[in-house]
Parts: sequence; C-alpha cells; structure tokens
Amino acid sequence: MAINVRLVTIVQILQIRSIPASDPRELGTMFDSVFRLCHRARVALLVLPLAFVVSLEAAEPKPLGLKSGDRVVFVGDTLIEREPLYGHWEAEIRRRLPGEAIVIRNRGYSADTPAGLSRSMFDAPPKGHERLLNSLKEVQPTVVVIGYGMSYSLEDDFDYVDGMAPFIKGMSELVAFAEGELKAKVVILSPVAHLKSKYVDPGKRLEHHLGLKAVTKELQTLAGDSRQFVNLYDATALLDSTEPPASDNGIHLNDAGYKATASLVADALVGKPSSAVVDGDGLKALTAAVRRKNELDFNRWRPQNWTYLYGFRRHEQGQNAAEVERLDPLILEADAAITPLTKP
Amino acid sequence: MASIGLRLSLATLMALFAWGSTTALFAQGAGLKVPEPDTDEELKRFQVSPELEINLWAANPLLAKPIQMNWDAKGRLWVASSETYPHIKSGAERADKIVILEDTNNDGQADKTTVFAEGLFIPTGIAPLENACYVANSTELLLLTDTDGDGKADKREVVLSGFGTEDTHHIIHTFRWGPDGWLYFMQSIYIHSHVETPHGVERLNGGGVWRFNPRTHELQIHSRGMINPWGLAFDREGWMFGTDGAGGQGIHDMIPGVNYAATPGVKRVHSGLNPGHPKYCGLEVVGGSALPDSWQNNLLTCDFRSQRIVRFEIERAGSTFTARQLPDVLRSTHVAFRPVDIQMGPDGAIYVADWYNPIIQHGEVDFWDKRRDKDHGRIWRLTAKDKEPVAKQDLTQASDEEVIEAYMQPSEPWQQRQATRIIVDKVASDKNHYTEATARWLRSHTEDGKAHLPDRYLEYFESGRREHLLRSETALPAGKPLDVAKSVLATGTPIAKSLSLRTLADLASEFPEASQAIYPFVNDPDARVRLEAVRALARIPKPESMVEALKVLDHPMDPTLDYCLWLTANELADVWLPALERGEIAITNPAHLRFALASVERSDIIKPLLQALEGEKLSPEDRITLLELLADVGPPEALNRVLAMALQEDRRPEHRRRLLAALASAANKRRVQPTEGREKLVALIDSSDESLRPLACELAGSWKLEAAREKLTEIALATESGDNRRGPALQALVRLGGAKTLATLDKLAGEDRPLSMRQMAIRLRSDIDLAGAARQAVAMLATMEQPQPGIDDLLRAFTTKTQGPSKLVEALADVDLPPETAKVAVSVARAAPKPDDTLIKAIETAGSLVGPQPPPTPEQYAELVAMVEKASAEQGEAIYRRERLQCVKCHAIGGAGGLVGPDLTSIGASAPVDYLLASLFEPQKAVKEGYHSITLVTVEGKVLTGIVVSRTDDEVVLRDAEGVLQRVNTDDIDDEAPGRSLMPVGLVDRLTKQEVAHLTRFLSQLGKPGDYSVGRELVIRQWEALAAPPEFQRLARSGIGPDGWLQTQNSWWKPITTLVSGQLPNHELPTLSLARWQSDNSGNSSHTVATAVIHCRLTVSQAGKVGLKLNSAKGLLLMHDAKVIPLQVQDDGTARATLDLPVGEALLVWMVEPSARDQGLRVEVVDLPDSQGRATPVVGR
Repeated sequence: MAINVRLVTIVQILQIRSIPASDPRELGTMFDSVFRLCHRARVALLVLPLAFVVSLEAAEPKPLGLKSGDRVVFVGDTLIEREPLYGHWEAEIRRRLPGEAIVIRNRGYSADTPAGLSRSMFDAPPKGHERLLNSLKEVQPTVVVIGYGMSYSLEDDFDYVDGMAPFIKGMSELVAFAEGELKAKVVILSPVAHLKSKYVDPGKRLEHHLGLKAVTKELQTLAGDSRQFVNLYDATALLDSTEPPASDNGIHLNDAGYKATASLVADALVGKPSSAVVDGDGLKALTAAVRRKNELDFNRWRPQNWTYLYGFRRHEQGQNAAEVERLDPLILEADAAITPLTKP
Repeated sequence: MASIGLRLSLATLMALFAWGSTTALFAQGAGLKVPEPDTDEELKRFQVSPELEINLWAANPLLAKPIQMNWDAKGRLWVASSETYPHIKSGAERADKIVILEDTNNDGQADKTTVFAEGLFIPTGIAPLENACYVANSTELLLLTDTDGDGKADKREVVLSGFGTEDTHHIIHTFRWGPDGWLYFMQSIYIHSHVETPHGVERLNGGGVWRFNPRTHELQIHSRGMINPWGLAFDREGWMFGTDGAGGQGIHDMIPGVNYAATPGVKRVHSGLNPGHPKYCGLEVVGGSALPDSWQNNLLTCDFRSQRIVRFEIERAGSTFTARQLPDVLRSTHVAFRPVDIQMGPDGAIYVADWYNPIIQHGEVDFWDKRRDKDHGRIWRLTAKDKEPVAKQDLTQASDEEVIEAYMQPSEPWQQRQATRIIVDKVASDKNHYTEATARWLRSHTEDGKAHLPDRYLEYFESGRREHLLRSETALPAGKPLDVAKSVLATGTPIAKSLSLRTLADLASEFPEASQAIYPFVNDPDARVRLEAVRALARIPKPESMVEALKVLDHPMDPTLDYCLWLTANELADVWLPALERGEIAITNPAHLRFALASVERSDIIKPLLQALEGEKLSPEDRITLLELLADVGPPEALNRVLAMALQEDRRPEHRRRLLAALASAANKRRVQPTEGREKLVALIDSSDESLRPLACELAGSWKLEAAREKLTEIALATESGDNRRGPALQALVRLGGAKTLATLDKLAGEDRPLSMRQMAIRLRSDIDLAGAARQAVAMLATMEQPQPGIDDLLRAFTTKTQGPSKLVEALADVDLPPETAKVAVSVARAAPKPDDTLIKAIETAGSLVGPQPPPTPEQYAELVAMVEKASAEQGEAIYRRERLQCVKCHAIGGAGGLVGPDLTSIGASAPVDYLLASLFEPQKAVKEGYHSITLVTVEGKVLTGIVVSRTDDEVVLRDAEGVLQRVNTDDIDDEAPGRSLMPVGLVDRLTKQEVAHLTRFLSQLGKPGDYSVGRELVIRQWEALAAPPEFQRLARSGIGPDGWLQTQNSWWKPITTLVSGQLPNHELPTLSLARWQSDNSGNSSHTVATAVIHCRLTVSQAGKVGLKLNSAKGLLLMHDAKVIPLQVQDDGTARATLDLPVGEALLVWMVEPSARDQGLRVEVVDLPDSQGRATPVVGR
C-alpha cells in the first residue's frame, strides 16, 4: 500500500483555524501580509519549513504497473524538458523493473503549454499543437505522462482565481487525445513548488506559490480517481531548505531535485520495488546509459538546423535529414544497452 | 524608357550569397583553393593600418575554432570553441570546449591554455566571471563553475533554457557584460525562444537582443530584429551599439524596445546608421593609452566576408548618432581569414578571433563539405606603433581603492569595464562595500573642494544598490532610489539622464511618482534625452504617458525621434485611445492629436478623429491628414465629408490629390464609398487642374460610377496621345465591366491601333474575359515574327492569374508561334510566380522549340571556371548593367540598386567562382536568408510572389520581383505557399560562354581589394535620370525653370546606379535636347545640346555646411532648392561645392552635358572642417 507524504502549508493551518479564506485572493493578501510582517520584523523566513506538518492520506489509485513492452512518453514544459539531462526519473523507473525492456521518451518543451505554444516555430500557433500531438503519436505510447503548469503559472495573464479554464481545457483535450486516439494510460504531474531563492522577492514568491498550489489542485481534480496523479508541488515544498538545494533558481529542479522526486514518479508508474534494486556504481552506470540515450533522442526529435533539414530551406540541406535519421538505430541500441544495467 | 525585345521580367542574381550546394557539381576544390593552414602564410597576407602592427597571439594547439571570446578581470582570455559546428554527426559525443588563454610572461603571445569545460554542444557565447562562466550551449544558457580551484569547471547549472536551434549560426551568441552589470546576448532571425524564469515567461521569435541579470535572474528582451544581430558593444559613455552579420545597415544605435530590420509582426522598423554597408560581425569600442589619440572611442567591427576589419567614428547627431567610416584597420587576401570577434585586451591591444575557414556557415553549403575547416583557429593581436602597452593588472587581487581608481579613470576602457563589473557585483550584495574607498578617492581627487565624479558612476552604483535594496530583507526605503535617479536627472550628462530615465521606468510600478519625474524630460534640451523620455513613458501604461510623450513634437524632430514616438503611441494604444474616446484625457494640440491618431492603424480612432475635426485651430495640413485617416477607417457617411473637401476648388491641388487617393484606397481596400455626392466626380475628370484628372478617373472606377462611363469611354477611344487620363480611364472601364467595356476594348485592340495600345487592351480584357483575352493574345503572338516590346507584360497578365495559364494553353491549341517570339514567351512563363509546366510545354510545342537548356555538366562548369580566371571584369560590369539582364534592378552594390535580391558588395570576397556560376545557372539551389519568397493567391484569383517585407495580423507586404511593394489584406488571401527564388531560371541562357565568364569575373572581384571594392568614401551611387517622352522635350525647349524639372511625372524619372568605381557612365544617361544652359542660360531654343537631367538625395542628420567632391566640373550644373550652386574647380581638375542643408532629406538636381565630359560623373559627400553639418547619400530605394 502506498503511503503518500503530504504537506500542509501555512495556508491550510490558517484554514484549520477557521479564518474565513474561501477566496484564494484574500488568502494571497493574507498570506502576503503574514510574510511582510515576518519580513518587517526581521523574522528569518527559515521558520517557514517549521510550519509544515506531515500528514498521512489515503492511498491513491493503484500504480500503473509498467511492464516489458510498455512505451512511456513524458510531455510538458521545462520541468519535463530538463529531466533527460539528469536521467534520474527514468533510472528509478527502470531499476524497479530489472531486466524489463521499457521504452521511455521525452517530448518536453521549454515554456510550453498544453496547446503546444512553444512548438510553433515559423508557423502560427495551431501548428505547435499539431507538432505536439504528432510528437506523442510517433512514440506510439502505452503511457503518457503529462507535466504542464509551471510555464502557465508564469505567464503575465495568469489568474489562478478566475482564469484557469483555458489551461484546464487544454489539459483535458490532451488527456482525451492520449486516452482516446493513442489509447494510452495517462499520468498527470503537478508543477513543482516555488522554492526559496535569492532571486525573487519573498512576497512575490509566496504569491506565485499560491498560484502553483491552485494549479496543482485543478490538475488533481482533472486526474480524478481514475488516473495517477503525482503531487510534485507538495513533495518539493518540503525541499525548500535541503542541502544540496533541489533547485538553483527556485522554480526548476536541478540534479538533486530530480533525484529527490524520482521515487515519487516511479511510485506512480511502477509502484514500490518488489525486489532488490541496482544501487551505487550500478545505478550510476544505469543513469549514465539513460542520459546517453536521452542525448541521442534529443538530437533526433529536436535536431539543430531544423530550418535546413525539415523547414523552408530543406531544398538546401534536406539531403542531410538522412543524417538525423541515422540516429534511429543508435537510439534503439542505446535503449538496449540500458536494460542489462537495470539488473542488480 | 521602353523596354525592348529580350527584356526578361524577373530578377537576376538572387541567390549570390555564400557557397551553394555545389560540391555535387564539382570536383573537390574547384574554384576555391583551400589554403595550407600555415600561420606565417596568413600573417604575410595582412595589410595592416600604417598606425598598427600585427602579431600572432595564439593558434593551434592552444585553441581551435574560436567563436566568441571575452576577458576576465585577471586578464585571461576565455574562448568558446566548436569543432562540431555547423552540425553534429549522428552518434558523435558533444565535445566542444571552453578554453582559457593566458600570456603569463607578458611577451605579447599566449603561452598557456587551460580547458575549463568540455562536453559542450556548439557553444557560441562566453562571459567569464572569476572562477566561472556563462556559456551559450545550444538550447541552454549554462553557468559553469570551478568550485575546487583546480581550474576546471566541476559544477554545471542550467540557468535558462528553451532557446531555439533552428539554425546553428543563429543560436544565442555574442555575450557581453553591460556597464549595468547585466549580461547581454543576441539571437538571430530563425530562432524561436521560449524561456521560463522565476519572474515570468519570455518569448522571442526572430532576432533580437536579450539582457539577463545574474543577481535576480530577470530576463528581458532589450530590442528586436536584425537579420543576424552579431556584434554588441558599449562606448565609453555607456551608449550601446550593434552590428548585423546578415543585414546591410552598418552600425546600429541600440535603443531599448526598438524593432530593427526583419522583426516579425511589426509595421515599422528602425534602421541602422549606415544603410548600404556590408555585413559586419563582432563589435568593439576601442581606446586607451596604448592606441593613437585619433582612435579613442572608435568602433571596430569585422567584415568577415571580405576578410577585413573596419573602423568607425561615432558622433552624436540629433537624437541618435552618425557613424563615419575611417580607413580600414586591416585587410587580408587570405581566403580563410575570418574575423568573428574583436576585443580590447588588458594590455590595451586589440585582439581578433580568427575562426579560420575558407567556408563560412550558411545552410547553402553542405554541412559536410570537405572544404570546411574543422581544426584551426587563431587569435591575432594588433598594437599601435610607438605606444607603450598598458601595464596589466589583476583586478580580482586589487584593493577597493584600486578598483575605484580603475573605474573612475575611464582612460583605459578595458580596466574600467572590468572594474564596473566587480563594483556592480559587490555592491549588489553589500551596498556599502565601496563607500569608504569612494570617499577616500574623492578626497584625494578633489580640486577646489569640488569632486569630479562621472555622472554615470552614480547610475551604475545605484543600479547595483537598488537591486540590493529591493531584495534585502529590510523594509523598502520608499523613494530612496527615486531620489537618486532624480538627482542625476537634475544635473547629469545625456547618458546619465538617459539611464536614469530607464531606471525611473523600471521603478514606476512600485513608485507612482516615478512617472511624473519623467515628464519634464520630454522637453529636455538634448534630443536623445527627449527620446529616452518618450521610450521610458512607453513602459508606463497610463493614458497620461501618451499625452506627455506627444509634447516632444514641440521640439525639433528627426527620423529616430519620429520612430520612437510612433512606437510609444502604438505600444500604449490600448491605454490612451480608449481614455481619449471616453474623454478621460484630452490631447488639445492638433499636431499632437494628428501624430497620435495617424500612428495607430485602428478603427476606434473615429470618435476622437471626428472631435478633432471640429477643432478650430487646425492647420490645413493637420486637417487633411485627419481627413485621410477618416477615409482610412471611417464608415460610408464619414467619407462624405472627405469627398466634399476634395471637391472644393479653392483647396490646394496637393491636398485634393491626397484626399482623392485616400477615397480610392477606402474603396479598394475596405470597399467603402461615400453615400452622397459621388456623381460630382464626373466633372472632376475635366478639372482645370490636370493633376486631379487621372485620380478622378481612377476613383470613378473604384466606385464603379456608371455616370462616368460615357466620359471615360470618350477618353479611352481618343486618338491623340499624351492624355494622362487614358490609362486610368481604361482601368476604370474595366472595373465598370459589361458588354460596353468589352466593345470599347475591341475597338482599341483593332489592327489600326498602335501595338502598345492593342496590348494594353488585351491585358485589360484579361481581367474580365480571360478566355477571350487569351485568344487575342495568342493571335497577336502568332503574327509576330520577331518579339516586339511589351509582350512580356502582355503574357504576365495571364501568368499572374490562377486560371491564366490554362486559358493560354487552350488558345494555343493548333496554333504555330514564330520561334523567336516563342522563346521570349517561354522565358516569361518560366519567370511566373508559379511556373506552369503545361503552359511552358504548350508554348514550346507551338514554337517548335526544344526544352530548356539543362544546367552545365560538371565538365562544362570546370571549363567555365577556367575561363573566368582570364575574363574581363570591366566587360563583366557592362554585362551586369545590361537592362535586359536586370541585375541592377534587383541587386544593389554599395547599397545602390534594387532591394529584391541580396546586396552584392562583397560577394566576390565571400563566394568562390563555382558557387557564383551555379547561382547564375541554377538560382533555386541556394537562397539567402531574408530573400525567401512566398506565393500568395488572393480570393480574386491573383497570384503574387515576393519577399515578405512585413507581416501583421491585418496585412502582408511583399516586395515583388519588380521591386514594387504589394500590400495584401490578410482577409483577401486564399492560399499561401513557400515561393521560388525570385531569380528566374534561364537568365543567362542567352549569354555566350565568354559573356558568362566576364560576368562571373566581375562578380568574383566584388569586395576584393582592387577596382571592384566599394570604398569607405560616401560616394553618391544612387541617382534618378529624367527619361521624358518626346512631347515633354518640346515643352522643355520652350523654357522651364530649375524647379520645373521636379514637377514632371514621377514615372519619367528612371533609377540609375553608378559603376562600382562610383562613376555614372556618360553613355547610359538619357538626354533631352535642351537650350545650351552653360554658356547661355537665356532659353534660346535655337542653340540646343543633348543634356541629361539627373537628381540624387542626401539624408541630413545634422544641419550645417556639407561639401561635395566632384571628379570634374565640366559640362555640369548643380541646383539645390531652386538655386544654382557654384562649383569651385581645383588645380587637379576636380571640383568642390558647398551646401548649407537643414535636417531632413535634400534633393540635388544636376544638368549634365555628356559630350562635354571625358569621364562619368562621380560625386562624394565630405564633411567640412569646422562644420557641424553631416549628410549621407540615400540608398536602397
């Protein structure tokens, strides 16, 4: 049985204390003033983690139970795009399934939205959406892991009180596409929390923090009871003052951050490991092999010089698109090289 | 001038820009000798400024393939290098490096190299800190840190990601620390970036400049546009300049928020300071005690195509700068010398990163072309003769006093820049870090009890302090930064005021009073400060911002100010326009209101517009402009008012013309017409003012005014020539349509009519009866043994319509065409927007022609390459200028010529002969970025092809192959597809092999040292000559004043460009037979002589006296502003003239008697000593 560690933030404490706070906007102001108060009184913000309490919650839906032959695609914004640089999520998933051949691909795109806004390149936005869907289709996935929310929460017009409908609509359509057309199972990831950093004014950070929480709540509702939901927001809020830090800029995970969240993701996709798992140097080798595969795969699906290989100047270098396609067998080889390394 | 016989309708030489995919055609190395990578050989090939010396500072194995470099405060040079570029081999590891080079024994040569980081992916930017550096790594901006002090990076942080990689020669690059402590960098035209930062998402589609604050992780777009922005530097005052590695506007004054060339989705862009210049990359502002006095604050940039480094002197002029080119810094005849970055060093010398490659990257060259150098690279060092180097200083070890000293004494720019960065960093974490050291410095440098504190010091110091204050955990000291900014504004120099205005805009959201603090500076005595205030207000979204910004109009304006005010009006339109409509703000000055309303092309200006028209203080000019706007956006009833004014006899003809044109545009673009009074237009067709008549005809057509038909038919069928209404009348009849129009056209197409008239009738018929017109056209061609003038225009009437080709094919069935005529028809069909193979085949069959000439075989190419070496560039230039080849119409050299294809100024220096030949024969193979065409099909079935000049939600503007701007409403577009090269295939088919060789020889010499290199002198290269019809000549002989020449019809002025040498060939000038004005200006018509009337334009950026230098005054008369300007003949036969010019555009009219001149006219614009006047020739129209 999965035990989910859940955080209750100050906001929840305030709610427990029956302070009328049904409108998150009021909450924001209140939250803000609490912190301005702390701020003015030179109370170190370090007290914040102390205000977190840990509670136990009922189990979420059963893990997906990945098995040999499954094909998983991760899609989302910068959270997803950067994960392959480190490879911890995939290494954690793979080591829990020793010897099983599972294909994992990443189609994350920086600052993307469920409408594929970042993928339009030279074209009008609908094209970005089309590219997003095609990039998923090409993987022929059995599982689609969707991680949008941070980019959305950072847009100028982000309104977590009244304005979340377009985002949730986009997410719903993406989920429907994955489950309908692709006939894949869907896992939804929440955005991570906005962790403390020296770059952002504390008041602004906490305001954003509230927004992310609201996004998380909406995504959890969308996931419902039938889909796996990974609450990275709550989990990462815990990492606010860990050493080494989980984030360099407060909103994106780094090597340590992806490592710290790997088991949560693997819990949802695989469940707890049933036997001994590869560790130590073995895990390092496994992670390195995953990264190598990821690098080849990135060069394949997001090749540099796209304009000349596939775009409107393909008459000049289109012959070299074949060079990119030569990556296909190399990626398969790299995949195959991972599987043996998953055995302890 | 009538086009004759073999005139081909489309552009030539479209694609000549870099090497094409010619390897398939050629044996390895044909046309480009890959040199031995010997550094001595390269050194020998430099021609260096007489004031400088050059030495090799670093080469392999110390480094390879440098792309960018920057110094750290210890005096070490950090270099980003890539052997992977331009594309990674599948399966290859990411293996590119950052190396640190040092000259440890100060002998002027690097002796130590350290690999700081490896495993990078085409790093194109590097900005060092003390033990760390920011690196551009494909999609990422990395921070690489050496945490354990072993000299190698062991920590890798992804700081930003999501930068596009659609083209590796456009990915983020050119890192430079700004004097404000922000990191500036650039991306180029094909890149689309989407970046999450803790402060928000930033998206930049297309080129532009980014700025990033490492202390807060704020990322901003500084400015947008440029094709390949590549080169960025700050001068000693702190002004920012940029260069474009694929644009032709030289140095750019980089103003925050401004859009430069090629910015997607904007209506108007701002230009660089040197239109017509070659592409430049890498930019540095030099100075210091180790360089000559005359080099202080000069800008150095690299003409990487022509293997040279050029120098500019900048000078404030109005709200912007002039950048005047000085003698070259160095040139090389070595084909692999590729200067890509240039930097001052710690010893006061100039360092040049030489990427070393015979092939420059462009998509046109195969990624795996063997001639690409993947291994070499050098850093060259330039030192001034007889100057001591600056003593090197490790500023990281310096005391606070020494850092302050380096900062406060800007005589050594390198030291000062490094000190700036150290100060900004330290102050950001400890606001008082330098307080004591500064106080001590001030005490020791006080004269007469008064500190000589540079203004900008305060600004930079405070920018660091402000960040600190905002982030500190203490309460915000409200108003504090504001006080500082205000105090600087009260007393500062223009740069200090400008920076403070930007700071105030930053602060405005937190401190409302910041915006009021900006207002007075819209009226500052300094034009640049006014401009900065106008731009600062654009960032404060309040209606008052616009009201205040418009006050800048009460002071002298210049094009840069005009652009910036326009930009502010547009950026704030959603704020001020509704407020104006609701009456919450008032813009009472009519000139202000006119500017504001004319700036925004929106329909919601109607209410304020109508209110404004009620105003009593309106000048006639303001009123006409407002009425024009009303015609642009107003409903039918509102147009009645415009028409009523246009019909008033007592109005100035120019104003009436403008209103009629506005009404025609409303009818054509928006299909809106006045509801009453339209029939009064008929009388205007016979107006006593001749200039109004054709416009009245045109408008009658736009309105489909049946009442005018009779009058129009009468004009159309008249037999005497010279009526300027005939063309518009016919057009109008076509728009009226119907059997009556067809009957009129039939009469005009009758065999008793002149050929040109018959052709026009058929062309017009094609708009309303395509099949009938096709039959008439084919019948005409079938009887034409030799091709006659005008048949290309005739056929184009069909090839630019979706159904046109098929109707011609039907008409051609069972018809025989004379072969010579058929050949011309084929070339027109091939040059169509969408060449139709069926049509080409049908014409070939009808004319019994064989198919098109296949491109040369590799052997034939090789033979041509050999011929080119012995061919004559002089003859080649004559071929280049042949009217029927139309090279000049589409391409410019030195900025003069057409804009349809790329400027060819340095094509010879950058492209090998094989590529040039392939581009002539197979123009589709390689097309320069920015010159890709699109094809649009309109809902009316018209087909247009052209280069996108601008594209917004409402409108696409294309430059077609004729160089004409075509505006298409987005709503009217039915289909869009990538177009072909505008340079048609088969252009050179009609040249002999020897002629092709001459032409290629000429092209191959362009930009190389010698006769075909465009020098730095400001030669007037773009002229217009009066080519008036014979009836005008009769008029002219009867006497016409100097002003009279300009009153002639625009269509009679024909563009003419000079030879590369700058001379206008005498024999190419069209002449009129005029009274001999030289000896006898009385207008005695019995004594006439062939005379050319030509004019040119100058852009005057600063009012005052400007000189002209002429190669000879023989047979020449110069007029400006209706006055004859005296020419002073010098001893050597050259001549000088002095003009006193106001800011703006000056038009110079010349009369030239070619027979009296032994050489073509060459005119140079020169600055005069002791004069503030500055002017440059206008190019690029």
